[in-house]
Amino acid sequence: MRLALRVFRCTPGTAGGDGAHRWQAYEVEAGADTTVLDALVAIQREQDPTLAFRWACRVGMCGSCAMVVNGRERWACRMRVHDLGRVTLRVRPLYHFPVLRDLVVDMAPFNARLRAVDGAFRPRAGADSYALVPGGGAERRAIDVAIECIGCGMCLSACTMVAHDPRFPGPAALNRAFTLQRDSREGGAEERWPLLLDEDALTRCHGQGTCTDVCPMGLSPTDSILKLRRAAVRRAVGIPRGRRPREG
Amino acid sequence: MATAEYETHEHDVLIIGAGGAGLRAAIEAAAQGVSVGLVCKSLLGKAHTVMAEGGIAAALGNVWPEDTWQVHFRDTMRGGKMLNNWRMAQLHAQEAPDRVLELERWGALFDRTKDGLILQRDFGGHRYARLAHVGDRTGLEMIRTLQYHAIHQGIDVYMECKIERLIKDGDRVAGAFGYWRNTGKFVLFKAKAVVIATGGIGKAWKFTSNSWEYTGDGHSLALWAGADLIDMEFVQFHPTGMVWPPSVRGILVTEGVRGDGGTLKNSKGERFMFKYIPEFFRSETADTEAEADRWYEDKKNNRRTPDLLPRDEVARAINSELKAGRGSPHGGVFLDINTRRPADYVRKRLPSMYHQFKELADVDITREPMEVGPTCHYVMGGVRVDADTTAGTVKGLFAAGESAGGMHGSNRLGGNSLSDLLVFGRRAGLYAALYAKDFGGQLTVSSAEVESLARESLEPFSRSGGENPYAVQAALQDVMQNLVGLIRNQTELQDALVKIEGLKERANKVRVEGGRAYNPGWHTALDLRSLLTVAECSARAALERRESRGGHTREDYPQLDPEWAKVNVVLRLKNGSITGSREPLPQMPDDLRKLFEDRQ
Repeated sequence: MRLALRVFRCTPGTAGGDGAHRWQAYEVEAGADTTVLDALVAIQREQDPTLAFRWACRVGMCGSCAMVVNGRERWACRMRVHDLGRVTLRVRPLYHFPVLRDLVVDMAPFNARLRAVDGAFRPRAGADSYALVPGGGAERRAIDVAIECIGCGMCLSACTMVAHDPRFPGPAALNRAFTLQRDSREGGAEERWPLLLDEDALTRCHGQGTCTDVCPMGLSPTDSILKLRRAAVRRAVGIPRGRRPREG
Repeated sequence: MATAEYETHEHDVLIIGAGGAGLRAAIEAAAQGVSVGLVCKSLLGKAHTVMAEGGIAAALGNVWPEDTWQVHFRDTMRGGKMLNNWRMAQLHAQEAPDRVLELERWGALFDRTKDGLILQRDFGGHRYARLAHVGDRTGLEMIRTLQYHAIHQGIDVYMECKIERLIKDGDRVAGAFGYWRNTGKFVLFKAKAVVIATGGIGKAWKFTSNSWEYTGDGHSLALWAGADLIDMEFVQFHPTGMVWPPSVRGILVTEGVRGDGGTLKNSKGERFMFKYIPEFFRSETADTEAEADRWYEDKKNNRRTPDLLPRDEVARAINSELKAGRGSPHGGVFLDINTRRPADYVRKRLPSMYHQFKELADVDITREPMEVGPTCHYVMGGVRVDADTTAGTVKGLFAAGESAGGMHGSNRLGGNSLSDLLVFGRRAGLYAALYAKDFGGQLTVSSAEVESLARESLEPFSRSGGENPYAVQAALQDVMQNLVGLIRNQTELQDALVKIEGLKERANKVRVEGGRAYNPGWHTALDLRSLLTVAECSARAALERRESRGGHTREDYPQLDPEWAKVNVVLRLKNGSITGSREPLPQMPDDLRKLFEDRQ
């Protein structure tokens, strides 16, 4: 079938002024298995070598090809056009990131937010070089469901609070912080708490769950944020992990 | 256009490429207290290391206490059909366990045994279960860990920056010239030492597991700077790539599927691998289905299944089945894990494979077999380096990972790449830093040279006529796929070299539209130079080696030839042309040689 696309085109800094954009129409041949990425690559190869977008692995492992397709954040490589229905595709860059060109955005804000919550692991002082961590334990179960972030930026694009408060670290960074705070091997947790308890951090999340809706890896930053808040409360009132606070 | 304008950065050590090897090199160099610049063509964290599924080979001995570095070394050498640089293979086997444990100290966590030790998985060519892994997403865990660790060491990262040429001062490397992909503006890096860690050359083939990035940049930069390349004839075609649907053809299906119980079958339902057990591996391979089946449950008393022979053997076997007309509907063979393993086991052990097939091919691998076939995956050849220091044959140049040659000989074992990146990435960073510290002289970079490189890079914009660079790229991929593929012969290789010459002419005339900011057509036009260089290197070396070994199969010379076991094919530039010569392999000392005599 012929597939029609409307693609966001933008070259900041050129005639027309910064941020000026237009919607360009393309048509490509698409089969049952054609993905959004296939369609874009076909345009780039055969019709318009200037069309800029990022991609790498083609199978949803690297998180390069995140974009907004028909109003929703999606990974172009794993999105079959067939599953979007018989409509014209509207393809635009992620929200809440500066556009560099066409579908390519500046990922610097994403990395800056990770740094804002001190996203690096630091081994506990004096820890053994090798931790005997039981694979099936509660700690690993909690961390493992949150660990596989591929850094695509879709959650930031979908998050309304990120737009509202630029100092809010946002879903990916707070999810990362959760995996560190929960890790008994981590030595930087105490220093990280003040960053997380800043008035622009954990408390800014309104729990709308848009990040969780769009995460292609099926992670739930919303859940990670709630768990961090719970841990913060326990820490504040001195309840050890594993004991339930008394009701009433 | 202000063509000659460029910005300048200065570092003691410049590392080109930010996959596993580049990141590990950067961490080590920074630890030596020198100033480090890390340049990568895509965003940090998107290099192919992130896609590594199966695991990191390291003789930790957690599952099999019998496993030692000597056994790992022996497996690696035999997998490479003894053409490996023995010293690299030795260092690799000895140091890999420390590199894995180090990742855990930096926050990674590998899958665990019941006792809380790092679990290890079976892979082709490894005598014991040896691969430390995180499900089938080991690469993601590894690159994330290295990335966070590196960023917090104060390393300057230059993302989406492409290096076009190394700059020399006399006989020394003095830096590198490139451009920002975002803006198209030029940049000069002055550096005392440069580490090449740019990965592979797989984009020169049509069906490949490699992404757009792998255009042989580092191989070419080194060659153009006067360094030697070795073993460029050895290209690994991974036996199991997806064959359907067309848009994902070539994408990798991890060897972990076979390690975890998957078997290969042809259209008649036969487990054909039993017909293709080479003499070299006969004594350690099960020769009946019954024994192979028992091996999955009792590995001590049975020999391993031929489904897990080294990759070159399995790829050739699949190719023979396809030629004999016993292929699957879409031109592959079947890979079946659902017969042996329950659905929840498959989903737990191979989550990425499960989702990949479900979403892209509409195949539920817990209920039906996959269709797979060989895909270009890895180049064993690369920059000729000193085993201990990773120094190239030009002063100030170092190389590690896929862009370095020698470690894997004629064929790489699965799982030995991630460990290679860590072991030799660390060594490259260390010795590049020491070199930079020792070097007390001044380095001068000629601005005229830089300006001339800048003008040359902009030529595609000003040409009239000329074709789309993607057309030349596609034509080259066809040539390499058809004439320098899994099975080669003299006539086709000669034909390939003629065609590559023709494509060079076409590449010199390609024209690009638009401006310099993030212009993929322009980027492709520039990448063609390295892509054509490595294509020629591979074809030329393949023509030179008149035997079949590992990732180089000649139908006109189908046997291993003991004379060819003694030499590497070395390529270097002579008066602007790539020329090949045969040079003797480093000789293994007797105590290591004994490892190959003691055992069956």
